[in-house]
Amino acid sequence: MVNGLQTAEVTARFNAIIDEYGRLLRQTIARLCPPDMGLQLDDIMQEALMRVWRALESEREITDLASYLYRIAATTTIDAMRRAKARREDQLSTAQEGEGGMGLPFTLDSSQTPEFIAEHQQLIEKVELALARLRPARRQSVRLYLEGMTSQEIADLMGWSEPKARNLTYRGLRDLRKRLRAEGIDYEID
Amino acid sequence: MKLTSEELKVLYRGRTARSSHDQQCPGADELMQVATGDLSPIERERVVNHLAACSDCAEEYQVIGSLGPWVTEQAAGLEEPAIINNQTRQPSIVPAVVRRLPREENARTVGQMTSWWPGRRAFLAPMHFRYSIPALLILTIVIGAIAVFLYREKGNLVARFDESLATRDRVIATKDDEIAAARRQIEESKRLQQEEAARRLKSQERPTRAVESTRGRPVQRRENVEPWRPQLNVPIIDLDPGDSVRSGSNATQRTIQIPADTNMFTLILNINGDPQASTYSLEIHNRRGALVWRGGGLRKSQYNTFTLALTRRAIPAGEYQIKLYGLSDSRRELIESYSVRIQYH
Repeated sequence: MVNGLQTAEVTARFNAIIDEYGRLLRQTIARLCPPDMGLQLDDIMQEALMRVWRALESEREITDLASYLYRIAATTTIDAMRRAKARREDQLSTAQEGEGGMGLPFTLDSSQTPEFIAEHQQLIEKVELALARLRPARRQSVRLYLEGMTSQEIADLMGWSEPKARNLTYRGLRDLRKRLRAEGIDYEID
Repeated sequence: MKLTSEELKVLYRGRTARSSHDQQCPGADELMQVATGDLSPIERERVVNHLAACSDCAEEYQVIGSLGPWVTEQAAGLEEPAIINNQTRQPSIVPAVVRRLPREENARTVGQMTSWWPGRRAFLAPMHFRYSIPALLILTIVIGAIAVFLYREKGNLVARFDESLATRDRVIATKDDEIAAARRQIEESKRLQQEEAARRLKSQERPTRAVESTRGRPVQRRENVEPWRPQLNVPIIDLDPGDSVRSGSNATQRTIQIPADTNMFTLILNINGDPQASTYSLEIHNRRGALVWRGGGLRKSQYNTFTLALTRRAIPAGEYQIKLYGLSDSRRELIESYSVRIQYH
């Protein structure tokens, strides 16, 4: 009887939330989904609703529902992205194993010649070595930059101001270019 | 070999892809907490280090970050349903999301990264206190050193100023002493001058003739000009009323010649008859009739004469009229008149 009352109460709350925030939750997930990963919006939405249900069912205290739903949308989407990547890499790995590939990163494929692969590997090692010789702060900002972060994102992550992040990145890239040039690699900064 | 920026990024991301490393990636919740600033500094550093070495997590973090501006827009119009109004409130993460997630309008490309000084706000950022506090300490020490230097310099200046004042006071005191000494000398000089003037005045009052006549006999001359000394060879001249017997050419005037070494002479005034006045007086007039001397209290001698002693200083050489008056019953009566010429040799 108690369980029945709890289930009815959770259902009522859940329905109220969906009525109020269902559209917002869907829009949030839609904005988060990268268009080129083949993610299914309905699947992610369903997963997010399941998480909301489980949270209500576990009587977890939800104080700011909007914030909680944003968090649910973000984590659910990220998890979906990770599953999609894992599946794709599994498929690629299987295909490469079937073709006798070397399991190299997706920048290379099995069609490349062994000389090209060796040269590529050597280039990666030189870049890693040049990065390792940078000053710590510059190295960290350059690595984040190479990962695609903007100067503002670097500043937020490192707790710096945006001008400082921009300055350290610029100086780090300049140092990196000098070191790569010394290794015979002509790198041009944008 | 040439490498563009985009090629380098692709190369690096391929090297740091999730499938190429064995690191344990943070969960989606942790990435969300990094974006909202809800992780401890140590945990945050660990996740940030991972983001720099894992292109997939970095991409996922950017996906979360792209939600920031949209959250801001949506949060403004949200209202909480009544269903959770009876539950305990906790701090909302929406403002944290808005605050922490990357701001697109502030994101800049590397090509725009030209300024190397982050500015004052960056210097005062909480993460930079470890630099700003020592800098402030150094600044405080420098300012303190400057203040101490200025304080000591001020003390030295005050000491030098006091020393110069003391030197000046000593000079002033020396000058005052010199001025006082000079004044004393001036007073002494004035006194000496006055004494000298008095001596000169006294010497000028001596008869010139006596000085000249006593040349060769200075001791005798000095004795003659000093009236308090006993006078020797004092002439005594009898004057008769209207005397013409001894006057020679001038029947009405008697010429009296006084020697050079004589400072005083005595006149005996003879009268005719026997006047019986109670008192007698005498007047001496000069040639122009002006009164030279007047005196009373004369006494008639038993020889029916009066005596009068005159000095060289009182009666200079010249012509005089000596008039003898008798006073009786408040009535003055001319008894005799004597006309004399006095010559000093």
